[in-house]
Amino acid sequence: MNSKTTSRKIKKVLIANRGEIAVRIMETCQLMGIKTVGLYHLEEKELPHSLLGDESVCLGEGSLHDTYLNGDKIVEVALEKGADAIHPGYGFLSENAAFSKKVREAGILFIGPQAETMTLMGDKTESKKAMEKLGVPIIPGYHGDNQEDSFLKEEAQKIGYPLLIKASAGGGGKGMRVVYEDDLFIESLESARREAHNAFGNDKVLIEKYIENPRHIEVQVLSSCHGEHFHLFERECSIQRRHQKIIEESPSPALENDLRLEMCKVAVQITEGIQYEGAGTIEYILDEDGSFYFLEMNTRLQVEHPITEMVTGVDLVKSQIEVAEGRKLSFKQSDLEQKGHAIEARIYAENPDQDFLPSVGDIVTVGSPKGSGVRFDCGYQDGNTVSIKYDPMLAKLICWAEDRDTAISKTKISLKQVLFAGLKTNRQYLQRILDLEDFEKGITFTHFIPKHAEDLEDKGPTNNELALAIAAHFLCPEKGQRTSSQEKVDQVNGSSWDLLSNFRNS
Amino acid sequence: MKKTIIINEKSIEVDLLDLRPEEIHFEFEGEKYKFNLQIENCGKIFLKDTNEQNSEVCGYKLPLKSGMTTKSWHYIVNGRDLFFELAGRGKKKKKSDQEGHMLSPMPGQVIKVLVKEGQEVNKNEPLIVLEAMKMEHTIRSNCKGMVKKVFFDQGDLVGGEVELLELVPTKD
Repeated sequence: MNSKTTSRKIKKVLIANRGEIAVRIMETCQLMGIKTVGLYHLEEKELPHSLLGDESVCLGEGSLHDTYLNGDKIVEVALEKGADAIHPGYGFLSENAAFSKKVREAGILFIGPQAETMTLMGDKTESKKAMEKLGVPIIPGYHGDNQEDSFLKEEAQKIGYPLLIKASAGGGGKGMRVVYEDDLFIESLESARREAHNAFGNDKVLIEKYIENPRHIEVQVLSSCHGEHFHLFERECSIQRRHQKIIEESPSPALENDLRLEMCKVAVQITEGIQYEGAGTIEYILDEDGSFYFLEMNTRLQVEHPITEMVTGVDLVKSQIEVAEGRKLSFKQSDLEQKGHAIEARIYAENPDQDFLPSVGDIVTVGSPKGSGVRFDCGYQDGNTVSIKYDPMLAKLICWAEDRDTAISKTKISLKQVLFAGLKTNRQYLQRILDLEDFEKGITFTHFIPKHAEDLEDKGPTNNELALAIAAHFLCPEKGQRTSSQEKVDQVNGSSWDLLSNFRNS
Repeated sequence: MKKTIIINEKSIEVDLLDLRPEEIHFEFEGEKYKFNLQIENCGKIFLKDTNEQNSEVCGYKLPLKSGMTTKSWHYIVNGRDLFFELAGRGKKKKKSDQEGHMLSPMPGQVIKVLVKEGQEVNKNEPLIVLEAMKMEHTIRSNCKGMVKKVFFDQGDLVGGEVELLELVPTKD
């Protein structure tokens, strides 16, 4: 048993994050009778995460570095507000070991693993070395300190093309490039470094063999400080655009039970090996022949954690809080089973028909899908503005059903009810993915989107769909909700009423 | 009465034959349509066609963008997003897709200018790298030519659909 045997009850949590994940953490805290303190940027004062905490503190109107990435200020706020724990969510400071140290030195619990394991797993190079020692399979590549262009290019030639350039400190597809030809290596290297530098303040990269038909499979792990190391089965996250996941599911349609158990077993071997504490994710690449390689470990809550919650019935945020309090987990490995099937679809403010360019603007109305087994984790409400400052993810739709086919149809139906009036989103694009035969059959490799690029193109509306919109347009000229008084004047003087009166006069 | 509506950036002609408070009759693309309005409630519009087929349309009028006179609406039919526009006076024509005019596809920050004025470039050559929402987007030349003018420097913030760079196209 670990040295930490005294437990400490958390009464107030500061959430060092924004958007849907801040709101999601607040919900669990409320259920546990824990008070919450939210943080927000001045421009975000109308967003749900600024409003739903018991208290909320404005971080001013500065850049990300002055606000959500300003560890000193966040610790200061936590002390001032009497928070006894900080939940970092995902992104921002969630995998920043220095921040977690700062938090703990201030006498506040950090809801996450120990700083040493964060440092280890956060460095893609060091983590792979550690995994090699534990006997965990890894992909061939160069993970060393020599960052000279010519040296890396030589290493690249040794590994062979196609290959992947990745930020050592990275995640979420930022600072990542696939290179197919030697001629494009230097251009891609420079671009990856710049993105890495901007996103993580560190431009160190690694290069490795690029597997042609990979699946992205990850295992949710959970460890307490009492030597309990559990897994909560896998998630398949192969459907990605620009290296960012957009559809995830659990269980993976690709795994036979033996392989599933093997991958989960290796995941637990890793958490035992590094004496992990808290929730984490072991990411693997699965090759077509069934061999799998350790990719990285995320030492935090994942965006796609809800699908695991849906199939296991475990509230991962609640478990994280219990572990941080120094308690044992409230269940045993043998209590856990994967029941039914869950799918998550991420709603982004972007235009998939224009190379996934982010779209910005005002959301007139948010429409949430409802129904049993349907969950909608959303960071915006009616009247909010989406700016270029943050990640373009607006919400996550999660649907659970008894089996995969039903989960797919439930997701399709629910997607139709997802609405961000006024913004271009990827909603229809997600529908097109779910409609593809390959998706239905579970033939989902990480290059699913480029492979099906043609099938996924917008075929345009049917005449009947256009006719319905035209009918609605002319029959309900006043349908404007949230029209300002000036707009109402415009509307009366303008097209719609003009049109009606002209028509009647003609 | 003929009406022109821009739907998802395409112009569509509609011939309105009859419009009453709860019934519409119109022709477009050579077909006649007739719908009845059942009820409208908070942006949800329930319609019935002549075969008693029920349909639900969501419709929202969008706020005017600052400095623009274009009125726009967002309709959702069968999970499909349809953006309607009625152009007001004084709307500028877009320069996009014209050879030699390179526009920013979205608001963002210029993080690198890869070419100099006077430089010859091939089609698809990277010219400028923009960053928005923490992702990089490389602007590539849409034709072979000579860089006539670069309108922004590294570090500048740019709006959406702003001309970044002008090329003088050369013929092969």
